[in-house]
Amino acid sequence: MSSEKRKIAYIDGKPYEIGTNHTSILKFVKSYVGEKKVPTLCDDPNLAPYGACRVCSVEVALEKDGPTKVVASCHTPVAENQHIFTSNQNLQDLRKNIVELVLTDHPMECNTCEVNNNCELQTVANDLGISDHRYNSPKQHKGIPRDTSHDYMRMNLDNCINCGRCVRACDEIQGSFVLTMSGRGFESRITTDNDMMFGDSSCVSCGACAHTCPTDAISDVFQSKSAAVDKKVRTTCSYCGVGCNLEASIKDDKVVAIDTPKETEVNAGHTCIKGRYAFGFYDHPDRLKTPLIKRNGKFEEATWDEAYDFIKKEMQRITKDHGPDAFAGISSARCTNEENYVFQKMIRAAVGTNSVDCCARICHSPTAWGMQQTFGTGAATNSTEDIYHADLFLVIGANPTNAHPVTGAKIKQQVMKGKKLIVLDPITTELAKLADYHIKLRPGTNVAVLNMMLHFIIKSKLYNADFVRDRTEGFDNFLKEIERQDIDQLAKVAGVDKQLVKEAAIAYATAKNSMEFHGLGVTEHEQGSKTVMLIADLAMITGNIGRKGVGVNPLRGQNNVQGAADMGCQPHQGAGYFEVADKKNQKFYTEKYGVTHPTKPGLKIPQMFEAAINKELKGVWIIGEDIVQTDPNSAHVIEAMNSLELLVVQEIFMSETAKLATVVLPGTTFLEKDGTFTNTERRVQRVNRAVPPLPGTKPDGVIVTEMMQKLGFDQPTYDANQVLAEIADIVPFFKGITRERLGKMGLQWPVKEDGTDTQILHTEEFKLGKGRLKNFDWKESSEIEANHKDYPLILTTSRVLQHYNAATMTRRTSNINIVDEDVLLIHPKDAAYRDLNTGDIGRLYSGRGEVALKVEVTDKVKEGIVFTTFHFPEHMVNMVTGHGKDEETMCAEYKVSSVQVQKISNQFKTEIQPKENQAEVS
Amino acid sequence: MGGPLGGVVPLNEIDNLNLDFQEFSSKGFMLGHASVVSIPKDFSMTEYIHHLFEFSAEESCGKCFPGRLGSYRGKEMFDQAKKKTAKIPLKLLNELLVTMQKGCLCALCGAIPTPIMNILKYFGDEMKSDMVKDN
Ligand code: SF4
Ligand code: SF4
Ligand code: SF4
Ligand code: FES
Repeated sequence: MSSEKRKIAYIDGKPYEIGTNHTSILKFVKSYVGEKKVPTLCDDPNLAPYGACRVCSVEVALEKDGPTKVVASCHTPVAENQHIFTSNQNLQDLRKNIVELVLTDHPMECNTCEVNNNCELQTVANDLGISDHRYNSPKQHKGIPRDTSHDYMRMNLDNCINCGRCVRACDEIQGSFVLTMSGRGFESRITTDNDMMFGDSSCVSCGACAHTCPTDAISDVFQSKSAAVDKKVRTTCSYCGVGCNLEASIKDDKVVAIDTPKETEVNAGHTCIKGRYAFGFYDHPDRLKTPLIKRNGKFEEATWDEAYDFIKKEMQRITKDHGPDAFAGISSARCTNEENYVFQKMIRAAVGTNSVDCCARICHSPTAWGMQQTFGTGAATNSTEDIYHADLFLVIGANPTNAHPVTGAKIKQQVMKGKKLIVLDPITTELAKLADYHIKLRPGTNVAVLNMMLHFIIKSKLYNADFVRDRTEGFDNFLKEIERQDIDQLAKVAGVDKQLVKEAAIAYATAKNSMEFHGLGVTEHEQGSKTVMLIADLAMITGNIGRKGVGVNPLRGQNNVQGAADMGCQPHQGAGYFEVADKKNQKFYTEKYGVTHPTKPGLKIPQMFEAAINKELKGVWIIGEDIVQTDPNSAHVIEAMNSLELLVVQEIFMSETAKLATVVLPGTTFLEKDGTFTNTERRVQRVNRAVPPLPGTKPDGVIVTEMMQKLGFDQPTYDANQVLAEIADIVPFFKGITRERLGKMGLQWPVKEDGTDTQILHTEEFKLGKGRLKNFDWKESSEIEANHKDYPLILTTSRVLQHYNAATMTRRTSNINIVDEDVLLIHPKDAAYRDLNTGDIGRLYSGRGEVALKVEVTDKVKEGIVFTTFHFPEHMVNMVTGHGKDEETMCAEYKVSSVQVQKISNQFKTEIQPKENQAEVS
Repeated sequence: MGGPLGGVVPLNEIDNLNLDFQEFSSKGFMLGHASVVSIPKDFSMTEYIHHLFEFSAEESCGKCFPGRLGSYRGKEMFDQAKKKTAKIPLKLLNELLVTMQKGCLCALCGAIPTPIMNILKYFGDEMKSDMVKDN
C-alpha cells in the first residue's frame, strides 16, 4: 500500500488526495468541500456524466499559477497536480448567466408548481442569487398540453429544462428506452416512443425519470416530489425480495406518495412500479377493519376480546382432545422477522407443535435445502452489488425484469454493456432476448441440461482443479457419474441443441467471474432440490464461489421469505435453522422459551392439507397467505380448509382463503408497522412505521402476542425492538444486530457480535467445511408420465411486472388499469392445430379443473408449452395445476402441469362470463 | 476570414497577419477554414451578426445549455434590432458572448462569439445607433 504514491490535486489552493472513487473533478470536489460548492443541473450521481448544463464549470490549471481553462467538472477527470478553482467571480458570473438563460424558457410560476421548495432549478438559482432574466420577450416553450394519459406518470414539458436526465434514467437505470430527446437546438424536446402519448408508450412505470427530473416536468399522479408534506419515512418495500429502500411521504397521517431515498445501497435510487406506485391498497376501502367470527356459515363482527376468547376456547378444545399436533400454523413471508419469530414461537411454545411452515415451502424451500446439503447455508452466497463485478450471468428459471425488476434492470444494463448472458428458460423472457445463449428447454428438464453442462465442462477439462482439490469432496465419484451421462439422450428430452449447451457451458467455465441467479423455474419442480444441488456443483467445479461477482444466488420471491425461514417458520428447523429433532437443540429452545419444546418435526404445508382431509389436523392459523388462490390444485386446498374445525386467518383483505375461515383477524400492511425484512442477499433492513394502523386493525405481531398472552404464555407486550433483541439472543447469525446498528442500509447476515456483517459467504471454507459434490440423473416428472397422454401440453406459470402473486395488493391499485387479466400464451403451431387466434377465449383444463382464458399466440413459448399467470381470482389458474412436488422438500411443481387447451369462442364473439368466485365452489 | 467560425478582420489589420492559425488566434481572430468573404461597406454588421447567431441557432445540437439557449437568444436580440423593435443591450450581449465562449460544450456555439466580438471591436461604431449600453 504505502509504496503506492498518493496522488494530490488542489481545490482552491488546498491539497487533497485523489481517491479511487473520484472519477470526475465534480466527485472529487464534492467529497471534500461539500455538495453545494459547485452547482449542477444535468448531473445525477446514479447516471453517467453528461456535461449538458455547464453550471458545474470550474477553472483548471495544470500547474500552480499556470493558465486556466474552464471545464465542466462533472465529466472532466481529476488529474494529479491539477489546480481546481471552484468559485471565483468569473465562474459565478458564468453560472449565473447560464441559469439566466434557463430562466428565459421557464414559466417561473413556482408558487403553484408541484415541486416548489424541492426543485433543483429553484435551488441553484436561489443559491446564485438570481430570480429573473434580462432578455426582451424571449420565445418560450409555453402552453404545451400536459400529458395525463398515463396511469401513474405525468408530463408537463413547459417546465422541462432539457437536461436529458429522464432519457438517461430510462436508458441507463431502467433499460426501457422509452424517452428520447427529439429534434435539435432550441426545438429539442422530450418525447415518448416517437411521440406517442405517455400512457400509450412502452413505459413500465418504474418512475426513474420522475425521480431524477430536476423540475416537475416529469412527475407522477401522487405528486411524489412535492415538499408540502408533514414528513418522510424511510422503509423497505414489501413486495419482492430485492428489498428496495423506499421513502413514504406522509400528510395528515396518510401515505400520499412513495419514492426512493437518494442514498440507498440495495436499489441505487431505483424502484419498480410496485414499490413506488402500487401502495394504494394500504387504505383501500376493502381493508378488513374488525375481527369476524363465522357463525352458521355467516361472518359476524366481533370485538378483539371475543375473537381471542373464541379462538382460545377452540384451540384448547382441539389440543386437549387431539393433542397439539392437531394444530398447525402457516406464517407469512410478507410479515416482518419479528412477527414470523413470535408466530413460530406461539405455535411451538404456546401450542406445542412443530407444525409451522411458510410460503417458502412453495417457492425456495428446495434452494434452502439444496444449498444446505452442498454448502451448509441455504441463502444467496453473494450480494446484489456483485452484479457490477461479474463477467457472465447464468439465469435459470427466472424472469427478473418482471419479478425482481430492480435486480433485473441491473443485470440487463450489464448485459447491454457487453457482459455475457446464459438463460435457461422455456419462455423467451426479456433477458432471454438479450442472451448470448438462450437454452429454451422443456419445463422439467433442468437436471438434464445441467448434467449436460457439467459433462461438457469436465470433458473439456475446464474445471478448476485447485478449487476442487482444496474446497470440495466427492469429486472422483462425481466425475464417474458425469462421464456416464448420455448427452444425446438428455439433449433430446430437453429439446435443446447440444452445441448451444456446450458453448454455454464453456462460456460459464471460462469467464473470469460467472454469477448465477435462479428463480422458481428451478425450484418448483419434482427435481427442484436436485437442480439446486447441480447448480452448486457447477459453481464449485469452476471455482465460481467465495469471491466478488460469482456465486449461487436465488432470487427470493417475497420480501421476507428469507427471513421467515431464518426465523424458524419451517417444521423441521427452528429459529436459526437448528434441527428440532436434535436433543441438543430441543434443550436449547426449551431454555430460551421457558417451556418444553416439541420434539417431533411438524407438517409441511402439503402434508397439512392431507392431514386436514384425513381429519388428523383440526385447526390451522394462517397469516396473510392466500393458499386457496396460490397453492396448486385449488380444489384440493379448499377441501382441506373446509375439513377443519378451526381456521384462523390473519389478513388485510377478504382473500379466497379468508372466506373459508372460522375467525378472521384484521392485520396491517408494512406501512403501519415496525420491524425488519431480510432481502434476497441476506440483508436485514428496517421497516419503519409510516402511518398508524387503520382504526380497528392491529399489526400482526401484536395480534400474535396478545393471543399468546391470552393462552397464558409469558410473552411481553409486542415491541419490535425487544423482539429483535430476543432473536439476536437465539439466532447466531443475528448476534450483532440491533435496530440502531441496522441504520439506513441494513446489515447482511451473519452479523458478528461487534456488528460486522458479511457480503460474501464461503470465502475461506464452506459452513460444511468442504463443499459436497453430488450427482443426480434426470428423471421424467411423474405428472408428465401419468397425464401427458391425455393432456399433451405442459403448462408453466409465472407473474407479470405489474402484479404480485395473488395480486391481493396490486389489484387494489391503478396497476389494475394496466393489466387486468391472466392471459394464456401458446405457440403458433399448437394454436393453429386448435384453431386459436390471439384474442380468442380458450378452455385450459387438466384432470383437476379448468379455467377460461384469453389466448395470445406467440413464439415466446416453446412448442408444446403454454404459459400463464395466476394473479386473478376470476380465473383461478391454480384450479388446473398439479399435485407434483419436489421430492425432498415438497415444494409444489407449479412449473409442470399436463394440460390441454380447447377453443371456446373467437375474438369477435361474446365475452365469456367468468364463474362467480370459483373459490367458494367446494 | 474562415466562414462563420472564423474571424471578422478589418482591412487595416490584414497586412499585419500571416496566414496561420497561431497568428490569427493570438490577435483575437480565427482562421477557420481560411476562405475569404468580403463584406461590402454598405452591408449592415447588425445583419451580419444576426446571420452568425442564426447559423449557430440552426446548427446547434441542443445538448448544452449555453449553446442551445444562447445562440437562440442572440438571434432574437438581432431579430429585434433588425426590425427596430428593440435595441441591442450591449452589456447583456457581451455577457452572453463570454458565457457561450467559455461555457459551451463544443466549438460550434463556443466559437461563434469570436467573429461577433471582432465586429463589436472593430465595427462597433457603425452599430451604435442600434445599441444601448446598460441594461
Ligand atoms: S417511468 Fe421508467 S420506463 Fe417509464 S419512461 Fe420513466 S424511466 Fe422510462
Ligand atoms: S423532463 Fe425533466 S429530466 Fe427530462 S429533460 Fe426535461 S427537465 Fe430534464
Ligand atoms: S424491485 Fe421488488 S423490492 Fe424493489 S420496488 Fe420493485 S417490488 Fe419492491
Ligand atoms: S452538471 Fe456538469 S454539465 Fe451539467
